[in-house]
Amino acid sequence: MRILKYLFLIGFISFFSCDIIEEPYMNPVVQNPDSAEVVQKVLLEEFTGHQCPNCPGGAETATQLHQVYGDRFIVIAYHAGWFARTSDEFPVEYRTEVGEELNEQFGVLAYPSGLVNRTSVNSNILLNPAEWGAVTYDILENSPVLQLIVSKNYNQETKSLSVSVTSKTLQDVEEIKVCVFITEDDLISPQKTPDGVNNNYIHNHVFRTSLNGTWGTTIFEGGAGSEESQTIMVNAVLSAEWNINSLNIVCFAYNVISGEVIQVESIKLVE
Amino acid sequence: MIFSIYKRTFLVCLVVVLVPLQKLKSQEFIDNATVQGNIYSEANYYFTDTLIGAPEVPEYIRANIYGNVFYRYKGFNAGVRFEAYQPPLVGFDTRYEGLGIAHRFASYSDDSYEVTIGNFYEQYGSGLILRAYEDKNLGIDNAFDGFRLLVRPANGLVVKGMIGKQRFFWDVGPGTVRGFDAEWSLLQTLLPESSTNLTIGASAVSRYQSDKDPLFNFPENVAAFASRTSLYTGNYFFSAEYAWKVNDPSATNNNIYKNGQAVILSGSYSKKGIGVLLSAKYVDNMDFRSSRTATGNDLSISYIPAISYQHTYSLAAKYPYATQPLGEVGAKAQVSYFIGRGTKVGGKYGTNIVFNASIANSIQKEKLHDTLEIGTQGTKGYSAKFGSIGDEKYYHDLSVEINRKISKSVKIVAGAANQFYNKAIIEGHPDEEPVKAWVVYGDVSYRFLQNQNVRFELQHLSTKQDKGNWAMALVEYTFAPQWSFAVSDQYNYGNSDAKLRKHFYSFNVAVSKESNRISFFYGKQSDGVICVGGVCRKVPAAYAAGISYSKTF
Repeated sequence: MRILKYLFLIGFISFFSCDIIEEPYMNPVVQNPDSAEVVQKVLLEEFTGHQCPNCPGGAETATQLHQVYGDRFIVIAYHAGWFARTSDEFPVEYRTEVGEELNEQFGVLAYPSGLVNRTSVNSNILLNPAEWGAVTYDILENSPVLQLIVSKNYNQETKSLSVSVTSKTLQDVEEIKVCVFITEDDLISPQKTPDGVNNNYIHNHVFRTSLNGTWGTTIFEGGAGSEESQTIMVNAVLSAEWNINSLNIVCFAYNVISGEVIQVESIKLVE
Repeated sequence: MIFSIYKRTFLVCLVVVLVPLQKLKSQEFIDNATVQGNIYSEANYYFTDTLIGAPEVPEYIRANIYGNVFYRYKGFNAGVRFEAYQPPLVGFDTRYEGLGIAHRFASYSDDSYEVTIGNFYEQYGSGLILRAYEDKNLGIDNAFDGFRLLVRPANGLVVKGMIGKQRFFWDVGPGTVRGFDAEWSLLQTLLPESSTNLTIGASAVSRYQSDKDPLFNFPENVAAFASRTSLYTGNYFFSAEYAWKVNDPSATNNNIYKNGQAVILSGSYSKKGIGVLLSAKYVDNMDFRSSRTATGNDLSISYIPAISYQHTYSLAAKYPYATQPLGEVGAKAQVSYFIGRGTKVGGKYGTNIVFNASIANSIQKEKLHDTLEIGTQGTKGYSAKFGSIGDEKYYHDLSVEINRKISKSVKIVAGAANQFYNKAIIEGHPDEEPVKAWVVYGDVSYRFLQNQNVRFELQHLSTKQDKGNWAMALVEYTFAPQWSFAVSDQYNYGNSDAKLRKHFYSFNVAVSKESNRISFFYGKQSDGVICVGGVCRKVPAAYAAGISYSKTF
C-alpha cells in the first residue's frame, strides 16, 4: 500500500502541476539600451526562401527579438535550398554560393530554421523560430570573450569596400575565424505566405556576399590569452545592383574547434 | 521541492527493483535465465536520378541497424537496444546519425506490481494525452527515460504512474513528464463471473519545461486530463474517451493560449459473418509534446488515433491521411460481410466484402474579435463550439474490397476506392490543390505443388491533380517456406510534365531459413508519404540497391 501512496502522490503532482496563464500573454517589449560597453551579442543565421509559406513567421520572430534586444541581436537571412528557387512568379534571385554551401553543410531540411550563434540545443544545431528566443536569452547571459571593432572604407564611385576587423580577447580563447558578410534590407519582392503570395513583401537581412569566403579568416592560430588583439583587412567591389543605403556589414567570430559563434558586430555601410 | 520528491520516489523504486534480486544466488541468476533478442539491419547503395528527384548521396551507402537483447529471470527483466545509423537511410531524420545504446531498462514485476527504471513505453487509454511508442518505419521512438510504476491493488483495478523525459534522437527532450492513470474493470471486481465487461478510467499528465523566452509568457507546467469508459457485452462493444488540456502555446499551434479538448467515440457489433464498426472524433488544439518548441513528429506525448482505413495496396495507400491534432472532426464506418459458402453469390468457398467510409473535416473556428485573425500568436487564437464541423474537407475515403476463394488453389481480391486528399492541410503545403482520386485494384494468387504460390497484382490510380495517373503491376513468386521473388513497376504515365512520366520499378528477392531472413532490393521509389495509425513520414524519391537482414533468437 505504500507503493500505492507514491502512485497517488505522482497523480496528485500531475493534477496540480498546471499553470493557467492570464493575459497579457506576451511579455512587454522593453528594449535593451544600446551600450558602449563590450557586451555579448547574438547572431541569428536564418535559412529561408521566397517560396516558403512559413518563412514570414520566422522573419516576424526575428523582428520581435530585434525589438527586444536591439543591436545585441543581429540577423543574416540566407535564401537557400528548394524554397529559394526562382520561377516566373518569384523571379528575384537571392541565392548565393555561400548561402547554398552553408545550407548544405548544416543539413537544413526544414524552413525556416536558424542557427543561433551556431549553438546546439539537445544535440540540435538547427533551431525552429520557437526556440530562438530562449537560446538567445541564455547566450546573452554570458560574459563576452571577445570584442570586435569594425571599421570600413567605402568608395562610392568605384564601389570598392575595405573592412578592418580588430579582435580583442577578453578571456583565453581557442583558434578563431572571422567572417565579414554583407546583408541588405528593404528588398521588395514576392513572398509566399500562409494566406497566399504577398507581392510587396519586404525582405530584410538578405545575405549578399562574403568578403572572405564561407568560413572566414583564421586569427589567433593555436589560441590566445586574454588582452591580445589581431586585425584583419578584407576588400571587395560591391554589386551596382545593391542599394548601398540598405547594406550592412556583419562581422562575426567563431571558435574553430566548437564551431560556435562567440561574438558578432554589425554596422551600416552608409551611416 | 518537486525534484526532491522525484529523487525520493526514484530511490524507492530502485529499492523495489533491486531488493528482490538480493535473494538470488548468482549461478541461478545465470543458469535459469532466459535471453531473447532480435537483430535487424538494412543497407542501401544509392544512385542519383535527378528526373525522379533521387538526390546525390555523398556516402553512396547508408544503413539502419537495430538489435535488442532481453534478459528474463522470474519477475526480473532487463534489456538493451543497440542502434546504428551510418548515416540514416534516405528519408529518415538525419538527427539519428550515430550509434550506441539507445534503450536500456530494468524492471521487476509480480502479480501486484511492476516497476521499471530506464527506458519504457506507455499508453493511457487510446493515447489522447499520453502514448510513448516506437515505430521504426516512421522513424519514431518517443520512449521515456525515467521510472514507471504499476500497481494492481484489487482485482480489476490497475493504477499507473510515471516520471521521465522523452527520447529525442540521441538525447532527451527538455521537458519532464509526470503521468498518472487508473483503470477499473468494475464487473471484474464486483461480478467476476459476468461475461460483460465495463471499465472506467482516468488519467492526468503534466509537463514541466522552464520558460526563458523573452517574447512570450509561457506556462512552465502544462497539464492534460482524460476520462474514458468502455463496455463489452455479447456482440457489442462501445467506448468513449474525453480529453482536455490547459493552455499550451507551442510552435505547432503558433503560440496560442487556448485550451484543447478531444473526444473519441466508437462502437462495434460482430457476429459470425458480419462485423460493423463505427467511430467518430472531435479534436481541438490537442497537440501535446514534451517541448513547446518541438515540431514534426518530435517529442509527441499525445496521440490522436486514426479513423481512416489502412489500405494495403500501394496505389490505394498513396494518399494516406495524417491526423490533425490541431483540429479535426471525423467519422468512420466499416462493414465486413461474409457471403456464405455454397451460395449463388458467395460461391463454393464464400466471399468476404468490406465496405469502408471515412471522412475528416476542419472544425469550425471563429474569430475572437473582428480585428483579430484566427490563430494570432499571443492570444487565445480562436473560439470553437464543441463538436462543430468546419467547411473545409480534409479527407475522405470510400472503398470496397472483395476477397474470394475461387478454388482450392486460386484466390482473388478486388477493390475500388474514391479518395479526397487535402494536400495543403495534410502535407502542409498551402498552395497545393486537393487531390481527387479513383483507385481500382485486382489481385490473383495461384497456389500449386503444395508449397509454391504465384501472385499477380494490377492497380490503377486516376486523378487530374498532383502527379496525375498511375498504373502498377506486380508479380510475386513464393517457394515456401524459404524463397520469394517479386518484380513490380509503378508507372506515372499521367504526369502533366512528359519528362516526368517515369517508371518506378523494383526487384525483390528474399530468403528465410529458421529465424534468419535476408532480402535484396533494387529499384526506384517515388516520393510520397507513409502513414501508420494516422502518423506520417515523408518519403523522398530514391534509386537504390539494398540488402536487409533480420534474425530473432
